[in-house]
Amino acid sequence: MKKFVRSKTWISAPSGEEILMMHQTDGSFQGLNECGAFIWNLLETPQDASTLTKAVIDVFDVSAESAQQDVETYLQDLLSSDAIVPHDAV
Amino acid sequence: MPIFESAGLSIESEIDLPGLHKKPLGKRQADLEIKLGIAPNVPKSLNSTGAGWEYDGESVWVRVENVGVFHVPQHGPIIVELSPLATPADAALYLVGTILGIALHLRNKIVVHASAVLVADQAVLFCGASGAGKSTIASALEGRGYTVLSDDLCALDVSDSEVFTYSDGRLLKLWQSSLDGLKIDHRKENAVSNRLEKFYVSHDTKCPDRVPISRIYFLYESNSPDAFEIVNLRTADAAAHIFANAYRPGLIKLLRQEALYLQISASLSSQSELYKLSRIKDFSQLATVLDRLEEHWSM
Repeated sequence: MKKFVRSKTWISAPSGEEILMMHQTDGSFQGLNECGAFIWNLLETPQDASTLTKAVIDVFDVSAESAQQDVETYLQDLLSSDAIVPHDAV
Repeated sequence: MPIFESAGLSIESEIDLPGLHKKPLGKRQADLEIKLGIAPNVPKSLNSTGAGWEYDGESVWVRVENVGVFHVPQHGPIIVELSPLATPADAALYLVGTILGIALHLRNKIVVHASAVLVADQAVLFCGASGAGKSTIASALEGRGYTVLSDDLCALDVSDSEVFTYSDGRLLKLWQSSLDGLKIDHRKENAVSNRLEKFYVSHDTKCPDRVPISRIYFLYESNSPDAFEIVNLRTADAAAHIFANAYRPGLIKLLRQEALYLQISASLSSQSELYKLSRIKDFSQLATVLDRLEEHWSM
């Protein structure tokens, strides 16, 4: 299964249970909620969607279906904003 | 030599710094020195230049026509080289504002364009560019019994996961129109400069040294009298406002301080409340604005 990891395009800082991110080139900002922050923290090392989904189920009170959907949405959002890249691209 | 205090720094200065609070230093060495002298030559290889300033990676040179050259290094004293007809008082106006702001940036301090007042033992900041109304609101709140902590410039610091600002007891600077509008002409002291209709205003300087920040309001002007609005800023918007209201936003990128400012923005978002405040800038509406702010603080 394809793995993803954080790119160096964004820097981040914890804001309570959330994460505040800043794009290093264009200076735009993005906030991640608690679940997004949890996924972002795990993506410090290469992760695939299945591993992330299992981790989300373990920590948050959500169904497997909902966790899988959340993880896919976050991965898509993070990919489209260049915050993560496929591991083999690093 | 007199010792002044501002933004959490003790400043030993050969030039009198009107508006700043004087404080005994004791045996401690001053955090920052200001000396009259000959500014070092600008090196040929520069990292960056702009209108009236140059940066070589370690120091900033600021040139002000008919005033002089200010050499602001990362470490060591600020050197002020006066123009032939300039007086130290001409340089002082820049030293307590722009030059101090640059010195704080260079020392990796977080500094925003804001005035602050004490509300229930915590700092409430009003942020905005010059002319946004920061000093006017702070002064008007002082008229209602609130203590002014600082004017125009606030240094921020994180300690034990809490964000603080420093009180410096500096005098407020208000335009004559604001003194008239606030009806406090009797508190007017010397002019900030003989070229400006802006004056120092006396105020109570008894305030704590360092205060946790409870709220920050970013000031916006509205054209409609009934358009008073306070909007809570979400984390990303709040960060954009903090960066935009840094004392010199361009220096954040130049000095690669993005991570520093991001961290303070994140801490502020999680521990304080940040708002966009829109109101009409009219002295006839000022009392209403203060009423609405006090109402907001009581919620």
